[in-house]
Amino acid sequence: MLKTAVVKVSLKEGPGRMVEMVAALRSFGTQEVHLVHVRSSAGRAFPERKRLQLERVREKAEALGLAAEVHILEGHAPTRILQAAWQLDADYIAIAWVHKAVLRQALLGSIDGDIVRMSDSPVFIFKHRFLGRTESLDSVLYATDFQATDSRVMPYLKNKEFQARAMYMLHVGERAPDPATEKTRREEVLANLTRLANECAHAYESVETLEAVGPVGRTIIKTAKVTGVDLVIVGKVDTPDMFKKLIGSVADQLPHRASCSVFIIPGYGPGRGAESEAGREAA
Amino acid sequence: MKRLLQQNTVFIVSLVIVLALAAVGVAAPKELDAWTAWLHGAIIDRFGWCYLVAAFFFLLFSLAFAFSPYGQIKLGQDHEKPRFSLFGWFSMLFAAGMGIGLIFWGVAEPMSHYLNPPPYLAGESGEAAKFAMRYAFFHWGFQPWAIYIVMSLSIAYFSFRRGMPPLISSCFYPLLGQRIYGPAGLCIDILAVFATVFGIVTSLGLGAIQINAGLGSVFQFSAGFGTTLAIIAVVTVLFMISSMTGLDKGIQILSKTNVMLAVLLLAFMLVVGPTTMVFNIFTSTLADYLSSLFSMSLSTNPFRGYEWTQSWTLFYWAWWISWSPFVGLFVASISRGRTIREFVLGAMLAPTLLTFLWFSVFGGAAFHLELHQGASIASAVAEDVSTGLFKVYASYPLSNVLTLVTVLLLVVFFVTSADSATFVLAMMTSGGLETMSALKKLTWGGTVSATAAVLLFSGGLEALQRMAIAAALPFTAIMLLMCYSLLKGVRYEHRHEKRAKKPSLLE
Repeated sequence: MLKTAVVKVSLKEGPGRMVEMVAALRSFGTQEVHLVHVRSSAGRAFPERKRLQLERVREKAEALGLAAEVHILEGHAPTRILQAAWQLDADYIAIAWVHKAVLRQALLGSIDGDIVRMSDSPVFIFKHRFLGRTESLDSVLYATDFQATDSRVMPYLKNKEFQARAMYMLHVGERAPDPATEKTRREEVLANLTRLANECAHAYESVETLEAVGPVGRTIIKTAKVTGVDLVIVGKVDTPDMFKKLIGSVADQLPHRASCSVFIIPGYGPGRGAESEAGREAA
Repeated sequence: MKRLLQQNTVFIVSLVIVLALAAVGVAAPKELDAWTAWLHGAIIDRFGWCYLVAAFFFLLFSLAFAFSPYGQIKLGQDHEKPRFSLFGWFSMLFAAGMGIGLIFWGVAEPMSHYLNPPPYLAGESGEAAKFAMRYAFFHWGFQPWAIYIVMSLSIAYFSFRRGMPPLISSCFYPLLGQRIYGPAGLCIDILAVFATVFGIVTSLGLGAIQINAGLGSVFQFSAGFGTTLAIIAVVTVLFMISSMTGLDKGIQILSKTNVMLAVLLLAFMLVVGPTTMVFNIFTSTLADYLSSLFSMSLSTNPFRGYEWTQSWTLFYWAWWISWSPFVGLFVASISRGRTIREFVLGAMLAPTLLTFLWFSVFGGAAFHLELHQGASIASAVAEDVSTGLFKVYASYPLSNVLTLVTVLLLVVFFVTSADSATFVLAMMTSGGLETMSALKKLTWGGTVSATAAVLLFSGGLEALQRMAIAAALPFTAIMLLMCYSLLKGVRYEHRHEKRAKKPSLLE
């Protein structure tokens, strides 16, 4: 399902981290990567040094057993990356997250953040861990709200190509206004979590359900830290809520704040992840 | 025994602390006075602006709630009807929320502002008179009711709609969950008991002084501590009797009687007094108030007049906030079965309109005497605030009857306030049970009256008032969190439960 990836290469990531990320993509069953570098200074010749750097990454990706190709594009980076993903019929976009200081981000913005916000395709945000493994997945956490995104995300999680040992199913909700309603709410949450856990139990050694109350983004990050997962998976819905547009949705905020990698799967829109796969299979 | 102790933790802890503080007020009134003066000064000085911002926020929050889709939610189950008629409800709202204070300040406040406005205005000028009426409206207008509304709306929603005990701690369930039954919830409830006891003791003390002054002016005796004590004793007996008869009879009947008496007094003063001037004052001050509501709501006058704002506006806001647990709980308990919109608009508009009329009539009468007949009402108020109203009556026909009617009004407002405070205190210290024990009502009634009497004697009453105002600071934070908690609760209901009730197209 996640066979083809468009990998954003800004050349600021460092070659080691880039190779580490490409290696991590194998955990999703990825076989083909398109290394896309977007340059904003049009007209001038592309520096040979950078071309060599890109070639080196490609060679290392091929050494890891992936089919790799380099694309050098010009223009507005997020738009060009998204266009490339569409044109190359990629199943998802991969980004090696480069942390930016708050002030710098506020003044200059974040290309990675813009890709996450604008993309209708799944986006994988790779975060390097100084301690512990990063190249292969041991445990993943799926944060569900039992809404529309489940139907999009679950096909990925049920897929055996998605290689992880353990899966945590987390629901972060808001507490009901009184104890009796809260009891009913929790029973419903547990029933839903168990249903989702059963649906993907065959693909993992262990599936554990977790339930929490509190601010969604912060609780997901806290739970990811406590459980020590390698990857957090969340769905994303474009909301008409003005407040959320101002502060950003949970999916928009997670890459900035999570210490592990994040996979964001859009709930609807012209994303072609699961749907294109289903289409290909049907063909 | 252990279970009994657990059930009565709020009762025992708050009673012990209240009695201990009252004992300090008797044993060392000067020290208590100095300490509370420092605390009060420090709070108003540093956090005064918080009260302004919070009160304005409560006003916007209440209005937004009323006009939002949440306004249709009923404070009770969907089938429930309001327990009290509109007149009974308005009467009790007015009696509990303003009553006694309005009689005390109806003449005194406009006159005080007229004589001593902020330094950027000349005292005893036309501008000062305009300012005086506008600020009297402001201090007794929408903001105080918005403060009460936030508190009572939260209590009513979580108690009658969500089936939790009518306690302030219950309003925090969406934020704290089961922790409302732990130390956090207990602290909130104990703080509410403090604020209520201190507020009601101060109010009763000041009310007794004014009744004494009124009776003294009719029967020509010099008001002393002995007569004040006798007044407190008589009123205590009266409110204890009223308290034992419950909400449906005692408080409701007394409140209705009182509002009718107040309206009669108002009508008499309007007809006999300078009617045209009163209506001119009412309309122009109303326009003035509404057009400058925004600037008054957020202005602390930091360059000139900050001391004036501190001693009036900030004092009032803190005072209303410290009263809010008591009035909020009481108003919630009489508002069951009304929708949020009906509740907010009713509680904000009806008592405010009566208050504005009251200030226009009594303030207008005082201004008429001061400006056109040479009576020195303002200087009399400056000498003794409690006698201002009786000085106005002295220039009217049937002045003794008017004074006696006012004293009767004061007594009945006094009784209804003390009665509802006893009801609320007993409820707060009984885990929110509506059928609380008579012993608890008697204990709180006796404690409140005895503390008022003892502190009047020792001179510690003002210190206690400052304590009540000091309690307003943590309560402001509590109320802001309460708004968030209420919003969370109502939003949850609107999102989840209303959606669940909608018939599915697939069915």
